[in-house]
Amino acid sequence: MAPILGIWASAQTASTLSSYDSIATVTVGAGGASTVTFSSIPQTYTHLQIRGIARGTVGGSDENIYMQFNGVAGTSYSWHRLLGSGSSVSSGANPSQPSGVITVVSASGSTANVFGATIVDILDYANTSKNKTVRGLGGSDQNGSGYACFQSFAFNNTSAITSIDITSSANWAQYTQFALYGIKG
Amino acid sequence: MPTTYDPIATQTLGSDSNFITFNSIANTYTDLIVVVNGKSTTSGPASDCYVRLATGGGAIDTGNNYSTTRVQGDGSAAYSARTTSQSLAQAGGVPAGLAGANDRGANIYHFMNYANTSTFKTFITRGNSTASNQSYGSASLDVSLWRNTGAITSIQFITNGNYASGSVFTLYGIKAA
Repeated sequence: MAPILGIWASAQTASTLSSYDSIATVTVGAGGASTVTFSSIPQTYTHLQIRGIARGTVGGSDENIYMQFNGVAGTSYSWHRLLGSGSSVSSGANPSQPSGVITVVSASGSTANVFGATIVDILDYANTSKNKTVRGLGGSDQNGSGYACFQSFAFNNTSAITSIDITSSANWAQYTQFALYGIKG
Repeated sequence: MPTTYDPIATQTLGSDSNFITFNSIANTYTDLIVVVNGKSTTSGPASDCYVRLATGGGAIDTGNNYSTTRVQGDGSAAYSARTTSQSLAQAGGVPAGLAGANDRGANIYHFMNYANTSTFKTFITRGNSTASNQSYGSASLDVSLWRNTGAITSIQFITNGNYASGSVFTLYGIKAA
């Protein structure tokens, strides 16, 4: 039986260890980057996972991670989130968006060296019969501010996902890193 | 494609202990994951859990360099809480003395980009703690910060009271291409 995402580690056995593979990693260099792209994604896995640390260059102390698949924008994405601010909990949603939103991370107004973190699961990404569902968890603690975030979004498109663009409101700061992994069924 | 999800070490407590530590962690992976399946001996239905870290092969950092933002649901309400400038990071929870004899909690810790020497370290904890005989339980997400740019070389897991005998701690490494 395939392990369930989220309890992946606890479900590992010696016989399944080879079913989690590193596909590609991007680390943002000096000067930043507006977009991190994973292209020509192999269609040989069942699920994808993206793990990363991130800091945006936009003003303020918080930034969203935005994702687009296959270069599709329009109104193809809708998202939901559960957000803890350290003092209160809120839930939000936004339909018909040009991109999916998956985690809140830190930004240029955050304390120096503070990077948010995210773990994103893209489920059954190569299937061509259904819309795609993405879920993420993460956030950014900033020693007195920040968020913890559960989030999901839908890509209302039945195409197999072959490329992923990860953007922010401005640029990604140096040392931001996203790593793409494939999980076999 | 390289195989990249490796078990590094497992510790199973043979007797009650306030803490366990993974030392001499190599810097050859990108992320670390620790799966904890355990219980606390303290009174009450559940106990918070905590993390301390070290770098450079040195001593565990007990300075006030840890903070956490939490979102949690306990079956009746959702809430969020925060700790700042603490000597340990609040992260996860386990059932405790008033829980059923066979109850165990599950915490999965993700230490992201733990070996880089340019950023403070952020780690994510998914926690679940259920006391079957107390109608008490919770599901939580903790995002914690260690204000240190050093590569993590030791991880210490602590709870109130002791981790009960039989609690299991397994360390995995994920290596990016």
